[in-house]
Amino acid sequence: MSDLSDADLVLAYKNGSESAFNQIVLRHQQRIYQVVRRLLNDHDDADDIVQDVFVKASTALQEFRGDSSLYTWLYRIAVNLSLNEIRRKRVKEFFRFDDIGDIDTSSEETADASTEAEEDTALIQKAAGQLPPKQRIVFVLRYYEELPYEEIASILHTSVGGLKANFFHAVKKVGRHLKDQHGPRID
Amino acid sequence: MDHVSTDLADLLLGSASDQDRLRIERHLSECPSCRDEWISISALARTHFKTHELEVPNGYFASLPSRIFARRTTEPRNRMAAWIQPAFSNYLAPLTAGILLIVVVASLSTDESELQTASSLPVSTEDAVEYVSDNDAIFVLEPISSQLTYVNYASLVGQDPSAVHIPGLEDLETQSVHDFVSGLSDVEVDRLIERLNERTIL
Repeated sequence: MSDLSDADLVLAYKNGSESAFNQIVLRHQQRIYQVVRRLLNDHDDADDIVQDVFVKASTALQEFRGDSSLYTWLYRIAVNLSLNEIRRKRVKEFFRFDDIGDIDTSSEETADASTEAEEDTALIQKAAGQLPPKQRIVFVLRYYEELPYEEIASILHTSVGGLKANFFHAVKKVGRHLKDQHGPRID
Repeated sequence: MDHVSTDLADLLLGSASDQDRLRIERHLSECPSCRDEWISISALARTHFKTHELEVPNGYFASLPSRIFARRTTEPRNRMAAWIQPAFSNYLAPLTAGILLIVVVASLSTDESELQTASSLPVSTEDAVEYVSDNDAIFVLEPISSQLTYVNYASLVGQDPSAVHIPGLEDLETQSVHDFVSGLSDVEVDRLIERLNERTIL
């Protein structure tokens, strides 16, 4: 089963093979988890969403026509569900009762900054978590996942030009955050 | 001359192709505007943008397929949802049309007023609150009166709507907001309206 292509696995699953779906999960779970985790910055949240992605996919695959690759299609589901979760959290934070003020992303995990490099990693992670949802998604897909713009455009149903602009603004904001934190260390 | 400012992030992070890198560098040598942009961000060296491996609990990926399988088999195939969905669509479509109509009416009549009560809507109050972020406006359906309140943030700050920053409300879409609001308690709904209305008089 592991030798089959994605297209063959989808076909087998449509014909009733549960092991084909299991193989799809095994094949794609790590990359889907990775992008969701980068977007949500929290393992438990990512775990929930990744499960949602594959549960949803198990139903929606019956309608999958293969217009895009299975991976891009799964990515699209993952990004949409993550986006909903990001928005839900941000709105919830905005209307919280205790009026703390700024949106608190500190509940999201940050790496233990024991070295300079780890500190930068944590800062980038934190800064990315504060980006508007769309910029955050483009930043994760382009910077961490290193997807070509064309593939991101396919996932998000948007133009390459718009994506480049989003990525540029995201990088500027993250960079500014780094610079503010480091001060004169960056020259 | 096509500016390359939005390509600079890829140049900075080293993710531009060789062809693009040459094109961008050639443009930078000729364009003061893009060169200034490049100078402003080039201090952010690639070394400050390191990726790191994510820490994943031991055995996580080994157990994930079985947990997904368990959810697929234990969660009821949401037949009720499948049955309700068309009804919801039937409900949502007229509601959206109604809101759009009111948007038009409200926008035509928004001169000095910052907060306007646009209209009553013939919708159930079960949904508590429906509001739409449209860059420059938010519509709040109050649960008790079913009044649709038009909150024009742009007029409050007297600037371009796209420049209005409303933390937590960027890029919201009707459905995600609906999902969020439908999960609120009555007290939370009251608080939400209170918060929104507070903002109209700031």
